[in-house]
Amino acid sequence: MNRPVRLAVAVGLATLALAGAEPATAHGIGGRSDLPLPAWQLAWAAGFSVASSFVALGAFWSQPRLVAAATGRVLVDLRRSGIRMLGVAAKLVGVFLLGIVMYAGWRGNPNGAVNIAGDAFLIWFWVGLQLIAVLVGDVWRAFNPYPTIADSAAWVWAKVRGEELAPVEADRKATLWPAVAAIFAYLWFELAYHSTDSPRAIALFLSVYSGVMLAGAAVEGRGWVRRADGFAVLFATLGAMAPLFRDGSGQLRCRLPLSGLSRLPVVPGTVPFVLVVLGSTTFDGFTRSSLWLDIGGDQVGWARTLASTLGLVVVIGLVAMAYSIATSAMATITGEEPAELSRVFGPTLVPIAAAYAVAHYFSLLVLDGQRMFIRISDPFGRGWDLFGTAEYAIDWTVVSPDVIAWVQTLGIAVGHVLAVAAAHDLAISRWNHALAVRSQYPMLGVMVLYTVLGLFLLLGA
Amino acid sequence: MIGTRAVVVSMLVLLAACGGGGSELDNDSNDGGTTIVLEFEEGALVGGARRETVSLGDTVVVRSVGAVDEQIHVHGYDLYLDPGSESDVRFEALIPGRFEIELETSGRVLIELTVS
Repeated sequence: MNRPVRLAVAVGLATLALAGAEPATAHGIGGRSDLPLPAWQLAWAAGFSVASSFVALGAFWSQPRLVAAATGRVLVDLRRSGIRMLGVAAKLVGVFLLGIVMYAGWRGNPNGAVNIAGDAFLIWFWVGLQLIAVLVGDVWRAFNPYPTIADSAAWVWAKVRGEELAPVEADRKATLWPAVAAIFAYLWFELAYHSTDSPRAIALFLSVYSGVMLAGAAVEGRGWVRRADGFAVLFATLGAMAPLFRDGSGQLRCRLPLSGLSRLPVVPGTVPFVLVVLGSTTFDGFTRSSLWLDIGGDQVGWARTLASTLGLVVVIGLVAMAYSIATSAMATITGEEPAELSRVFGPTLVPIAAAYAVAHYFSLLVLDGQRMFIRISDPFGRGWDLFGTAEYAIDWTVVSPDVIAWVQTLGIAVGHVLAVAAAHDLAISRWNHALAVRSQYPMLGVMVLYTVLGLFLLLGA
Repeated sequence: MIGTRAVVVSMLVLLAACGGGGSELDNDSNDGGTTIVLEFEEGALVGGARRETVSLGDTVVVRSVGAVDEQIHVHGYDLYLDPGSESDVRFEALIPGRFEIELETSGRVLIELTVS
């Protein structure tokens, strides 16, 4: 069997196994959503977005600035021995945490309402690390267990055979398509599969995901985990707009937020990756709207999975289509290749994806995320109280609906302005000012569309 | 009958939304609050999933009528109604937000409850 066939067989088997997983006993996650935003606030944000877009055309800078700002300045040399020790500790923590969640999933209490697996994986890992990546930097890179495991295994294997450890191959096949498949698999699991909060299902998903990552590394070389791990690619992509980053020589640097996007490597698969993430968050917002209650709310079991899978694919498709239309129009205006423009402008969508993540998941993290205090005292649901926090009661009023609404509105509005700024900067680095401004009409159009759509979903209509 | 009940419930909701004090019309033994009735026939909610809105601070009673063989879970407040032919749960709606009330095992959504 060739490799794609083997991969397909593995995925097929995994799907069958998920089909056999027991149904959820409790829906601990996703049972609460935010109140609909007041219409005046939405109108304010939408108006601000449209107005700022037009201001951007005329009043933004006329020389590219982000590339220069992306160099930043050195904060700490991460190669110093004390920090390297911390780095090793972080890697061990990463492997340990993966182990805990897997163990909780497979052997802990099968009731998702008392098991740490769901809260750890779906809230703290998935949502928490996205927000940290945007606001601080790609912290996950220090903890990611897959390169650690792959590198350790390669080291042991080389020792056993008495060979030198081969260096990680350069990106011979620089493509992110495996990561697109990986992140879609996760998003399907999170948003479409009907029994996401079952600890056994989470354990199975993580086992298959980890298996594919490590098997791929064994077959394709250790470079595989660096281009196939959808989570790592997502955090790195979002982290490109963050203020802190680690440069090629291993120094921690500080730069203008957003500027790093101008240096995000765009390889085949990068733009589809961003569009899949953007589309999935849109779909997630859609499923929390009352409209979805009428379409898919009444479905249960695999019928719900099927309806959600269709919805997920359709929404991702529509989001991608809007982007494709915009880049085609831009190509017509500038006389360049649509495919090339689609590729080059892909990173400018990252701030919008980040804004969606903030708007949709902020309250989940600060409200449902508190459940982690309870879980760490009894991670496997066995009635333990390791840290005396097992009886903690979630404070659902720690942030008021007004605060949540403002975080959502401002998040979307700021994300929009950042996306417009990134696209403007890129356009003037390619074309003269007049052409750059004209080229941005379709891009602004699609960004306003995404923003208004994002706001509309917050209406909960 | 179902229609009447829906009308009563929506009137109560409306009254509660207008500042409470709807106790004169409240014949469901719930002073100054809102009663949400879940009527089941053959294990399914009559009329399918629907929306209900209550005001922050209201006393809410969720009552199931008719046979249902699963627990009913009020999310956020984390309250449960036992399976059986009639069961109810009463709580102060002090947490703002939108919450699912669903059948616990199958995950079928019954009510999207807005507390605002």
